[in-house]
Amino acid sequence: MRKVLEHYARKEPLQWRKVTVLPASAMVHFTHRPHTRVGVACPVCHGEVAAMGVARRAVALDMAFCVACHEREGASVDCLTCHH
Amino acid sequence: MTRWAMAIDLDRCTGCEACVVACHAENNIRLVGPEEAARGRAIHWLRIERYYEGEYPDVRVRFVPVLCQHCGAAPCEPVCPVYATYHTDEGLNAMVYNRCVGTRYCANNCPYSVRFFNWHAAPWPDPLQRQLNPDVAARPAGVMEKCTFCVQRIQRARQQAADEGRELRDGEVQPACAESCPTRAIVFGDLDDPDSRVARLSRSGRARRLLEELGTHPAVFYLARGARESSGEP
Amino acid sequence: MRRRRFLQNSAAAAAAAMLHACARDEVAFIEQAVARSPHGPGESVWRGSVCQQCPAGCGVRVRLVDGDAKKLEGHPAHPVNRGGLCALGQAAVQELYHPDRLRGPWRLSRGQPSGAEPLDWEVALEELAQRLARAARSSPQGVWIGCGSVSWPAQYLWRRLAAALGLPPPVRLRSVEWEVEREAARRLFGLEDWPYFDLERADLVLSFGAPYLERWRSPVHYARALAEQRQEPRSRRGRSIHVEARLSATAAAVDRWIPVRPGGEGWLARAIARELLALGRASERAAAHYRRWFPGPDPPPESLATRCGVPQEAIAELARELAESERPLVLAGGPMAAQRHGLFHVAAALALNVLLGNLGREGGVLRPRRFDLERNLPPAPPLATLAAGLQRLRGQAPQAIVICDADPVHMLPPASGVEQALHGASFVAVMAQFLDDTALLADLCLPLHAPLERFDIVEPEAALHTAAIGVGAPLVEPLGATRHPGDIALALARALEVGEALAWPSVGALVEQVLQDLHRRTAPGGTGDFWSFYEDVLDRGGLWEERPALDGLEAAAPREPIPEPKLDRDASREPSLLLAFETHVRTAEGRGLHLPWIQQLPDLLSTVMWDSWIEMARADARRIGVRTGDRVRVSVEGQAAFEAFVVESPAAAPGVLALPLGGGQRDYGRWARERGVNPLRWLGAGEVEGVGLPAWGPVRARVEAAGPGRAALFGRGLRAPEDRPLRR
Repeated sequence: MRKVLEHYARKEPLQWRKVTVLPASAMVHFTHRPHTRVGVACPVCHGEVAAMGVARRAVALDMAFCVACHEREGASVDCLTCHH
Repeated sequence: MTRWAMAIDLDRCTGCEACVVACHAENNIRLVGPEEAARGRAIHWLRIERYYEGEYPDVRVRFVPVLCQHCGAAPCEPVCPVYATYHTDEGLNAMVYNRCVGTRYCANNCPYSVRFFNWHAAPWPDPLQRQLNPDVAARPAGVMEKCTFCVQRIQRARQQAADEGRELRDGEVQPACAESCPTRAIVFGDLDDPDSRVARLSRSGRARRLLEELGTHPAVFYLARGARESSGEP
Repeated sequence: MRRRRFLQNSAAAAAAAMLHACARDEVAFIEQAVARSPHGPGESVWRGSVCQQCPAGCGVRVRLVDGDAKKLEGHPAHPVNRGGLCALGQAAVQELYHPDRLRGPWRLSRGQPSGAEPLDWEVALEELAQRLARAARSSPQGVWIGCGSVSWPAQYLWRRLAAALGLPPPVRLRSVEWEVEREAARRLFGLEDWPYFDLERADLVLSFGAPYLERWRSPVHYARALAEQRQEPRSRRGRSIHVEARLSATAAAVDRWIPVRPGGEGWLARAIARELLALGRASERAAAHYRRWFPGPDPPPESLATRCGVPQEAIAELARELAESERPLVLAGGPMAAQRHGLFHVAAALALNVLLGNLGREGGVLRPRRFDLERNLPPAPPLATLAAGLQRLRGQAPQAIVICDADPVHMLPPASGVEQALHGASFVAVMAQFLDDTALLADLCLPLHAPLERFDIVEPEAALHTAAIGVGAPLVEPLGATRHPGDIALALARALEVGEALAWPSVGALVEQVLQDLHRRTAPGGTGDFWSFYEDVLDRGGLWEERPALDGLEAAAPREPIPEPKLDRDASREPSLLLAFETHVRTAEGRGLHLPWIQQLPDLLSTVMWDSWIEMARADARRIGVRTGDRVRVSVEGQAAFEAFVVESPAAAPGVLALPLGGGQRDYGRWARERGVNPLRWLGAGEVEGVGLPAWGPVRARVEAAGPGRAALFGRGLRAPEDRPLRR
């Protein structure tokens, strides 16, 4: 929090660092909207961020993980849903 | 069920090629320099074909914008050894870059010559990469690519509709080529909805399909030049 | 200031809410935390703006993601383009992020690679101010300012600055054919403007040379009009005929192409007029006007047919079609207008409208409508015409030359004297986005904002029958230390102590004042909140009248005859005629060829990418032993000129060679540098009679084989035994 306040005092935007990253080479297009709309809880992919001292990647975001959930929830498993 | 299709009115098309640039801008199509282009490696998912009829001074010219026809019986699909190209439930001829191993059999078997091979990875001299569309994957070297009917726009529109708790409206999905077209010659929509503009145009007496006789069942309808029918055409 | 900053971040949509929000500390905190996008990372935001790739002034929508511009679309409601956007317009976003954009002021040394040195803006402006002051002190005539910007604030502020300093008005820098078409409109219709051609509501459109589906006034507007003319709810499909020496893309897209002998266009128009007069289609008054424009005796029909190269019967048929048509319309212009007898060709064709009685009528030639942006502003004399400007350039060599947003060295033939004057002047300053042919000859180069980085108003230069402007606001952060040309004028005014004559703190403030005035004038009863109007205008990217009007237009009383060509025997021994043509993306101005999307766009007819080419008839190619893709050496009037590769065309007339305009830049960034040929260097041909501008047009030439080449042709086609699909 001190860091946040320091940034504010310097009138500089925070430099966020992304920890939940899909590599460009995966050619996957993920958007939050359809997932939040159907009520997928944040920790499913992000882990319990609230309980983390330092944020880190909690789930291996590989295709097996995505497809398993899509199949379980009856979401589309057409390749183009994510790969285009 | 949705079945995506396109109608192109050749009586409105003036061959201005706005669609060609719009396609490049939307789909992160890679820059192919003059030397590569001279070797036949230029990439245009959409091109305007030009046909001369006759010789000077009695010459007529026809233009036909040609893109992936998203064939119902696509010759490119069965020849792919790794299932990188297949047909979706919504009538799209899909191309999955992750699977493609670059045999180029598909391009070889396409009668419309609309499939392209990436001989190199795309160079985007800084800051040109800032223009890239984040919704479209940058293709690596060694894979095929071609028109997707702007599937990213289909998905964006569908999300929008779902957020608003409604069905997609006719005309809501516009591929980049259709949206740019100065003369509104390109119409995109759901062929399974009999009232959609594309479905009505597909039933016009002016409607033809390209190389239909090959049995490819293309999803692109071309409306011939000349007076339009008084009835039926939207 | 706060509002300005906000606009830089995002412009208008969530405007009101955020204006209030910014006052509250915690919201500012959050906004600051999410940095550049107030809409969350990865979200698309759409904003209105205006295209400045050509003077047509199309309205656009810009897709922004995380502060970067991604895609441009035509604005569906803007009356110029109604949703469409041409290839060049689409490519503006590539220009914005071009790696070779100028990002700071430079001191240059007249095209020498050595001695270039980056400068601070303060130093650059100080030097420019001193040079202007010094040159103006010795003689106001010693300063020559040229302006090609389509931005109204740039034009207005430079006009205002010149007036405040007692300098002659800046010169409008447009290519020759624009000026000739304007002169024809002045003589025939008494307009100090271009007329509007109501193509959409015409039932028969006859165009002489005007490449209205390629570039010309607005290709997007007129292409849409043609499509509607063919199809919108009307009982019959409208028809379109194009007259041109070469089969252009416009000729190819209309219903019928009538090839003429190069230089025969005006004679075909005279021949049609003769028939119309004989048919009694023209009113007495119109006929009297015509006789005073063209007082010479009518050549006999067979002589007219020979001069234009169209058979007598075809001429009679064409005249009959026009006479029987309810709403005939004749357009004229394009490269034909820049020929020695360009004024004759254009005026003879446009005069047919007078004979057909379509002036000020639906489907005819209309008076353009404009908002008159300067009605309540301090006055500034209009831009000088190019003809007047070039005359001044030749009369007294200017000491200081300032060029704003144009490349006259590239777009005018050498006979214009511009390049010579630049070499002769003791000081040259150029405002540009790229190091173009003109900037190469500068001492001082001042880099300009791209349109999406600045406030602007663009008035569609060739107006519509609807008053309209496009308005832009800064939507992305400037790529470098660049400025608006109008802000440069404001800074100079302050440095030269004429600040009170240009009292706006910035171009944004001027735009705001003009919109306030327009709000008072256009809002019903002058009521309504200005800021919501302002935000609405920025959001839509402009302001326009919803309904077109039908303002009266009459033929001007003829003051002097239109000069007719004398029939001179062609004494040249060169076997071929070489002419230059426009395409959708290749114009005399050469704009856009610095962009890969434009360079790699296959030409519609030849499919050539990345280069210029010589189009010739198959039989001619066989005769010198070349095929498509081979190189040829071209000599003009006996002088070795250039090399290019050949494209055979079944539509080319025997003995006629054609070369596209636009290529051959000396620099203009990595993708344009030394690429192709600039025809204007070789096609100079005396003066346009009656206009006083350097002509360019068909010249006698010879080609010979120069070996095989490696042309980039986009040769993809359908793989089928039947070569012609979709035949009815």
